[in-house]
Amino acid sequence: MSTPHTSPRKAHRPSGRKRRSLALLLILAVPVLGFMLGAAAAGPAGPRIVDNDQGTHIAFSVPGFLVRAAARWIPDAPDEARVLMRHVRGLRVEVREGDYHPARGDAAAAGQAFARTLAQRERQGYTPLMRVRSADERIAVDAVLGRGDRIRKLAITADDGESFVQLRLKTNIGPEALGEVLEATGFDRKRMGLAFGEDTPEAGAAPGAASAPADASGAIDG
Amino acid sequence: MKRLFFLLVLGLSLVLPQHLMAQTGNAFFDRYSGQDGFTAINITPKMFELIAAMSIDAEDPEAQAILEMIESIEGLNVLIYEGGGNASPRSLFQEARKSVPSGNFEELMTVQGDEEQVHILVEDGKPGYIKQLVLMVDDQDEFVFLTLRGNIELAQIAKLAKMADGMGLDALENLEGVGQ
Repeated sequence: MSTPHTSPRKAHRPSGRKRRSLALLLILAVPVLGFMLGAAAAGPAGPRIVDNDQGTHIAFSVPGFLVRAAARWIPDAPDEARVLMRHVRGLRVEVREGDYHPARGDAAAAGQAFARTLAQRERQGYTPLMRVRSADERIAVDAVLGRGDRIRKLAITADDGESFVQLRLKTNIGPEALGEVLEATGFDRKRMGLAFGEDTPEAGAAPGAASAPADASGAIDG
Repeated sequence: MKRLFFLLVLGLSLVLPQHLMAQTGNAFFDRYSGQDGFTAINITPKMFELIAAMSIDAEDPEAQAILEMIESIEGLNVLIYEGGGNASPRSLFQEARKSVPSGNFEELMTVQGDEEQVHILVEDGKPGYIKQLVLMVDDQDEFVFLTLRGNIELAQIAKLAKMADGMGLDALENLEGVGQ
């Protein structure tokens, strides 16, 4: 029976301790749920971590909201990386070494295995953007483009014959965002002004010199 | 049957010339791509379209002209040799020079120094524009072979060198004033 000063509804409310436990459970469940949703959104398989004598295979997905949040939290991230991270809807990283490498660590066969990966990428609708190739290393950048040349998916693949690394992003990067990235690197009208030999205060900085904000890290060019 | 044969011949006649054109100067690139000591960079037309579509605040009409030039580029291949293989920059330079068909290309500029030689060849397009530019640089320690394809305004090519870091484009600064 309720007291004169307590309504029946209030009598059934959980106590303060129970409310705190429930809140803590929700706070812990959100990232777990996020990872599960991210795994569903960003790749066909869930997280995988294998590290044994045969080799290493690491694959995991990160949901977009965490990547976007990290863009604000990570203190030393370059400005251009922050801009890109704000437009990421999902991220999947895969690393393969040893027997888990597409060529099973055979450097001679790595080139063919890499070519097969790129051919499969093309069948999935990716458009090649850039290729860099040396005797030991291969890097490929491919994208799925949507209306208005918006980048819907971006795949960066690197292989040095021993390690195969693949980064796949689901994004919504349009021309305006690409312009932000470019300006975040300091490559902006000042640099274009240099190209025309303009002798103005804006064009006074040397190419690549820091025109970025003061809180940017010094590792823009890596 | 005759109709099928006719369509096949028509299709091949449309495809083959483009295929042959695409191979001009690239046979040398393909031959050494992936070999010891070589780094090959290929940037596709789509990449240039994306770069040109970037929303950059280019109020300056000349800056806008640069963006339009980037949009006119249809492809860029760069082959860099920094030693470590069986070839020498000088021999590569001579081989590259022979690989470019002389009938289609004309020499735009040659720079011959004690330690460096630069050769720039172009394939003409409409007046004031070029369809393809081939750049070869030998500076004793390094060899660079670059092909740039598109509908490129010759007068603006030198600007690319000032905007791009490395990638062998520095030698294009020698073209400043050409075509104006």
